[in-house]
Amino acid sequence: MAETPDKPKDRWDKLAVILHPVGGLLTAVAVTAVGVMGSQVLNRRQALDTNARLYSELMSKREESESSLRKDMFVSIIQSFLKPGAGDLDSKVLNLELLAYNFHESLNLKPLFLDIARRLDAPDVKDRQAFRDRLNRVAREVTAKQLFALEGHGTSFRRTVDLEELKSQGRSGVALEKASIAMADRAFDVNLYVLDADLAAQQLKVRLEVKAPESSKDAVDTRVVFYVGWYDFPMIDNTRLANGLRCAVTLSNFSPAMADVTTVCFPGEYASLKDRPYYDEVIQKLQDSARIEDDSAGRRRER
Amino acid sequence: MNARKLVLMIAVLSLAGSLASAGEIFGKIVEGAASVGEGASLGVKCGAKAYPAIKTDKSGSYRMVLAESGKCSMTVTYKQLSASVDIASYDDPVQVDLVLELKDGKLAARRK
Repeated sequence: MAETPDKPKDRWDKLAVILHPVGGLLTAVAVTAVGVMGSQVLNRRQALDTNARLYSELMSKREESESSLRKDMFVSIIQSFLKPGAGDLDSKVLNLELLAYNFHESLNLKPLFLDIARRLDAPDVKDRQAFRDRLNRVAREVTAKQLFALEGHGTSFRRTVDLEELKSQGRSGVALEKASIAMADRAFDVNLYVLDADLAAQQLKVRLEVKAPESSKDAVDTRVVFYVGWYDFPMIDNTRLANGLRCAVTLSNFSPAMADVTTVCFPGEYASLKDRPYYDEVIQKLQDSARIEDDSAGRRRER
Repeated sequence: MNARKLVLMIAVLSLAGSLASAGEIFGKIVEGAASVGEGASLGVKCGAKAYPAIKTDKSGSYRMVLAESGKCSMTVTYKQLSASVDIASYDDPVQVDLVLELKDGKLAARRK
């Protein structure tokens, strides 16, 4: 077979000769670059994971030590109340102040407040008024703190009760001005009736009525009668409504002629730490959040 | 001690007593949902004593110290219209937030 004469190499052949080894080199460089970058990403992610783990470990350890400190503190303070005859009134009031300032979000301290108030009524108590003032001051401070926290997540309104008018009305009581509240996609009317006043104990007997407006599909219809005094704290002592919300009535001011009450309605998750949500409330909340997600997805698709 | 001195002493003591029970009234005024800003002024009358009107600040808030405790009437003036609400003054501070509503050329005030 006759040999074909060498065809002169054109520009493309020359380029192919040059690029053939360069291609291998580029592949090697690309593989190396991907490897280096991948390992950098992995290292960064690992560092972030380690930091997050370290942070959560530190937080949980801090939480643990704080809980154990609080538990020890709680046990030692509560024992002073439970041991019969232990401690004088001064130390009991001091212990109650400690409990109230440190545990007011987790415990209903009303029984302890009432117990000390009863002890103060004994005939041989010295400095009775000074102790009463201390009790009332701590109770008012705790109520104010809780109200301030709850008003940030809910809605409140204040009303004045004319105690002279209440006395003249007798057992029918006095109706306070209605408040219409709109919260968490829900609207309801809150009516408050003051039925009686105990001037000595500085407390009011009230009926709270919470109703959904007639046009609403909501089934809220709650009526409850209770006493409101200085030792009723809104995070602890509140009324559950059917829609996962709570309403609490607190005493803000009291004089022999007038009294001011503050009503706050707020989402159930801001109630005290001891409070657990009902299962149907949890399910309702999950359904609501699923519905909101579906609605927003629908709107995105429409756009 | 003559009768004149006795009367003077009683008057001084009763004045000191009423000042000691001075109460503070504070709060915020809104029209609908919006703050009234510096646009509102309010005066308080407790019995025979009238307190001079004060203006709200930029956020629509106000603060007043009253010498008496008991029933009082608060008059709010906004956009040259006035409305009154009954309030109570105590030895301790009391929060009175007001909601104003302009309807048919009339101003209505209610407690929040």
